[in-house]
Amino acid sequence: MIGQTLRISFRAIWAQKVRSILTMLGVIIGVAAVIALVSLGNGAQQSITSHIQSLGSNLIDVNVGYNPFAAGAAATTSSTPPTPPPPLTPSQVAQLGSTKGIVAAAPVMSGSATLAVGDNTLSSSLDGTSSAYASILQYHVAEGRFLSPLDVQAANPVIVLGSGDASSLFGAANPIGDIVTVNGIPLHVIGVLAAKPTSAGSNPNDFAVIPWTTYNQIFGDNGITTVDLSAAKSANVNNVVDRLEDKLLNWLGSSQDFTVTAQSQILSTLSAVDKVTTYLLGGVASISLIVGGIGIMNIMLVSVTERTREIGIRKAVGASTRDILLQFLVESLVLSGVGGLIGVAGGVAFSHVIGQALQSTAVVSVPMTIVAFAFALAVGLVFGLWPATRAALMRPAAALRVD
Amino acid sequence: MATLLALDHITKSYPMAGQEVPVLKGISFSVQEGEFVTIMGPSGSGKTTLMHILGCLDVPTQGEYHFRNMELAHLSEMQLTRVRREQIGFVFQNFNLLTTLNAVENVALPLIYQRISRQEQYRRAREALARVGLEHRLTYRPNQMSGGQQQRVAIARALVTRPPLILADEPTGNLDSQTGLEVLQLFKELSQEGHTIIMITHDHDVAKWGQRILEIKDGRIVADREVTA
Repeated sequence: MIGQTLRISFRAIWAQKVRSILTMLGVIIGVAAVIALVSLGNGAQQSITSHIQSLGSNLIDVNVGYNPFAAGAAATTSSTPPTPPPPLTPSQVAQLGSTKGIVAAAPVMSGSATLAVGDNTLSSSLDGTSSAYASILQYHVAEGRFLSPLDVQAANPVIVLGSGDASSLFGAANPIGDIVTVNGIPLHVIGVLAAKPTSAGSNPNDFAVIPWTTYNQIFGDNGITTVDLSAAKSANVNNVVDRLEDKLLNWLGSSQDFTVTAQSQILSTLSAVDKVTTYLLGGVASISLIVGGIGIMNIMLVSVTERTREIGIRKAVGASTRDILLQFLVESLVLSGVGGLIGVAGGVAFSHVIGQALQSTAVVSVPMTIVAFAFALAVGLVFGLWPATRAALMRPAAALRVD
Repeated sequence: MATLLALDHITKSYPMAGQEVPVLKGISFSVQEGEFVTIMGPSGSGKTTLMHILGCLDVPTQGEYHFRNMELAHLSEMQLTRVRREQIGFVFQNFNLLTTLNAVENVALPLIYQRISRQEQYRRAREALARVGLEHRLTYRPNQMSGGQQQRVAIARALVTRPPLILADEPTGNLDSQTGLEVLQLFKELSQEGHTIIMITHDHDVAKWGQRILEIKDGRIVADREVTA
């Protein structure tokens, strides 16, 4: 019986091809939009997540400097800029590093410099730091070695190249033992870092690292204002951040003079924001699905009116109210179901195309796809109910009288 | 012969512009099994309304309708559907075939609602089409057939459930006189095979094909006579 009802529905839909396709279009666009937008949202979320994770998800940043937005800071009415807080000393860095829950700490001075090998010059970012840097930021050494404590202590003229800088300056040749000049100062290349996967918007391989003491010799001593720390895997990051803040408050006296940022906190905030955005996009797209449902209802009402005589004939030969209700409901479900399937295909294809165009990955979420399709069916059911009821409740005598 | 159906003081009125307009004003008659009755009357006499009540497509305002041992006048829509499905075959003036279905599918239509297998539906539909002489037109759509052929498909559809009663409303009204005669000949044969037929017409020459003529005028039966050959 259901099989025959389905056949009748497909036939009725096929008999009005153009109209049926136009009707389905609403559902097709709705489902495709939901899937494509959610996929792109998921893709963006994944690329943000992987970018932050590539920095090290245990990473905690300490910045010393005036931060007017610090939580709990007293609102100041004065318009004069406050005096900057004093930079940290190497022993304070060591004390931060020995905080419970912290496994490594490295001062980081960041800037850009002109690197040159012979006539080949390159403008690159340059970090002055210590030996712990590689483990904190999860860099591996591909060739040679990383900075040693001795290099820092003695301010040795050495440099470790990121894989991007190494290939820009030396091509395929092995740079170990060669000389690179940094702003004219010659430094020995002692190591090359292994490449990290690039993610949207940034390349973690185009840079170079030198001892922070050497950095101070080249650029002048501005003190340590940034420290990168690595929390133990087992540590509760929030507690560790609290302990670091206590120490800094103790030294500097004002919570406006420093900032402690945990990557994991940023990560969870960003992915929460991204999740909300994704659902918001999906929600907006599902509005178009509902509009598509109204389209189905509209055309089903027209169809019921047009087929009044057919309904009369079917009732005369023995179709019950339920038979007619079922027939029109199935018809509207077929419209929304076929539209939904085409929409799923379109949405998946569309998210891949857009993903490639934007060079971000589109991650098609299977549960979301099922939800979108089920939603399309539900829309067909809900919006088919009224027209089907109208058809089912027609009086056969009245229906047969219609021309 | 047993009585198939009996109407007892059936009235029907329709609300029109706030007033109840009576269409049938107390109709009483009975039909025996195997009879071929024609109901004749001018347009507006209420004969189509009478057919709708006889066919359980509508319910009377008042009165009683006995069909076999059932009382139909006050049944629910669901029960009326069952009576239509199992007891009555309809033939309409304008054929009322579904244009999207071919001949076999049109004839099989009543069987879909009897929940029998597709093979059986088609077997019986082909059989009914063969009975009306259309075994060579099985897959033709209504618009590929002449009026006479379409009406024979409609008759096959009325026969396919082997109903105790066949109701025909002006079955020759849309046909030229030659094909009309062929259709009437078919009804006569069906009658001779034992089918009970009630045929509605405004045409005296058509009415004569029955064994008995009921004349209806202004919602009342004004004559009830046997046809003498």
